[in-house]
Amino acid sequence: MEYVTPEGLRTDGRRPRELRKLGCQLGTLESADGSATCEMGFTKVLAAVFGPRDTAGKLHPDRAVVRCQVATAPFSAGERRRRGKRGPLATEQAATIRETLAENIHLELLPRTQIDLYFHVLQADGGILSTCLNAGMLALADAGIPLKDLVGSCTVGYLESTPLLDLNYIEESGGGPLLPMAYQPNMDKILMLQMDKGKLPVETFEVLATLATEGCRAVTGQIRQSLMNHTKQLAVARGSV
Amino acid sequence: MSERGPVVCPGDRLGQESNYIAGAGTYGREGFIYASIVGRQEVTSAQGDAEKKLPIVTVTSMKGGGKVVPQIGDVVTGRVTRLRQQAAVVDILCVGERALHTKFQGQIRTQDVRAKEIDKVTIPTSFRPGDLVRAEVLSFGDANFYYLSTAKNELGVVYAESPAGVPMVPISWQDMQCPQTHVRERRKVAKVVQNTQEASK
Amino acid sequence: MISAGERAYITQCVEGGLRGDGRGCLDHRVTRLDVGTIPQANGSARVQLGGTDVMVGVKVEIGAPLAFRPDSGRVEFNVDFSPCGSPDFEGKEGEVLGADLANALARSVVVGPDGKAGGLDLATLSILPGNSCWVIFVDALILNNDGSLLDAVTMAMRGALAEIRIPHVEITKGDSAEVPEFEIDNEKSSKLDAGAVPIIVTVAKIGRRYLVDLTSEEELCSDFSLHIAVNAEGRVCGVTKKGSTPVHASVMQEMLELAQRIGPKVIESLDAYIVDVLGE
Repeated sequence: MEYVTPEGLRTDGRRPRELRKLGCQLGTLESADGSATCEMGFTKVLAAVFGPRDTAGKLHPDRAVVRCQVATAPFSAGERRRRGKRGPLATEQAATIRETLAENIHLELLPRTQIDLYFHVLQADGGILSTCLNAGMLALADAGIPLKDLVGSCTVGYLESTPLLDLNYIEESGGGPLLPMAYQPNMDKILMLQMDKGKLPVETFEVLATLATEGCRAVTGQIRQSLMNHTKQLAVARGSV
Repeated sequence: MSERGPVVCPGDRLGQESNYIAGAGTYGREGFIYASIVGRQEVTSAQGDAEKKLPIVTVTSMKGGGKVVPQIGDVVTGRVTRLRQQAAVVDILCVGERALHTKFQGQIRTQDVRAKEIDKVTIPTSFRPGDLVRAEVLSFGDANFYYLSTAKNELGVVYAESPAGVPMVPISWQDMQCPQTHVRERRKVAKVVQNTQEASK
Repeated sequence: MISAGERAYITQCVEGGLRGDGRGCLDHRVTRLDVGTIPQANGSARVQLGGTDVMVGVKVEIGAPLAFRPDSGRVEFNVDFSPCGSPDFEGKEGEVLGADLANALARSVVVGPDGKAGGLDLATLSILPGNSCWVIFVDALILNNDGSLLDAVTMAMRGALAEIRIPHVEITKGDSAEVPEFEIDNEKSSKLDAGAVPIIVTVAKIGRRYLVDLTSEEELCSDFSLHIAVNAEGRVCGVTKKGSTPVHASVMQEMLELAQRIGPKVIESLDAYIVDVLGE
């Protein structure tokens, strides 16, 4: 299996440092307080935010409590998969998403409340964690929850001695290391960085981390653009341009 | 007087803390003010009697007001849903004049119904299910209920129906009367202020 | 949950032939259909029927036929309530509701003592009798519930099935071999003949009036309702009664006739739109 041709093209025709097409839609669900759909290439995730609402159980007197759940549609993967919506991987992903997005929320402004984040993976083609984080960021902004900064996420990998940005499913299955990252552009801070499946020499790791940061910056640029466009559309609709 | 600015996103830098006061939709960090929601930036000139004569910068969401959550000290309006031995359970529906987007639950305990003669209070002579009450948020309470208080003259039952289904008229701070059957019922009645301007202050 | 005041408002309006949003008793809400929302699935569609929001994804895979129907294909239904729709959908509650709906779908769409589906000719989906066949997985995702779920799901299903193409299969190593081998040709595929698949029209009774396409508030006010599966020719393919109120046979007859009149019209407008979108 050749992941990068001698001419420098990947399995889907992209260059190694090229992001897939990013699509962001806000307010896709009427019933949620905030919602968004995010597509990175063929990966498509729907995110919904409910809150701030009354707590049902654990409460914190100083800040909001954030809960997160990730579900996967049976038609999302290449092979139709029926069993339970949650496997151990999904639970770990949900915990990572929760911690990352919660860190960006001004929880202390909403004491004794609960914010529920729900994700539904509609199509899976690599980069699910990143797509969930981006969709979650958009949904939280749509809900008007006070945030510290924007958050953008992308995943980088290393195959055939080449750093790759935004891996699809085939590339993720290639056996190389995977580095998902979440980044706050205005504060210039890395919010989340993981490394799965592999070992790397430190210099390569640094190269990958830099590539990931650049990729995240590009993602936040697009997220910001989507938020501005959506807000302007709302303003026009309300007659207050 | 306010000036409307551009649309901003969370994390956008709006100005320095030495030049502005951080208003709604913004927050301060390390000497600068940043936006915390997506919306339109607005700068309002300093209020007359404010401590610092600095303009206030706010960010207003396009979707109308942001989400409101009951805070300690807020005057809330709610409906009594059931009575327990030591408390009345209330569904909090509004904070001040703003309707909440989702229900919050609170309870008024016997010691918080009124200010005087606390040991003589019983819940059924103060509230009944279905009554609309105005109360103040005392504390965040426990995981299930906010703790509310009606221990002020202007707090208590503002609307109650008699068994005949007719809205009752307040007679005193602890009695209401049905205009149809003339039956009296005990409630902890709120002293409703006639002047609407004063009530909304 | 509905208050006495709201219930009175709805029942009184309906008595006068009007509904809360100004519709007549037999009018559908504004319907929005998007076909092909999940490109990776073989067929997909999203329907927004007023506030009700559902997504259907259909995948076609090779599997084993049922033991008692060795020369037919299979259809499997699954309904999930996405927690994105409401925190109430989280956990077991959502699963039980989903199973109920999936059963109602299976009963109405895939039924028949002779093994013929209510609309789909499963015999054409057989590959190697007794060994392999095409299995159609219909997965519905409920994103928001504002009544008439089955109506919305079957509408979306019609859109999704219209996209399906069944690849051509060549059996290279057939009956005598232990493990048969196939050659699947995606280029030479044929459209799934799903024209006869029924849609479900839910008819309910409030007071003395019959209603179609109820919102969740109206559902709480109705005495009982019938989920009636009707096909393009106006024939009834399946009936599920919801609610425990006993009902007179003549009332049921009137509701069935109503569905038989309304169903084909809905199918016609759906098909016209689908043909427009898919360009066939």
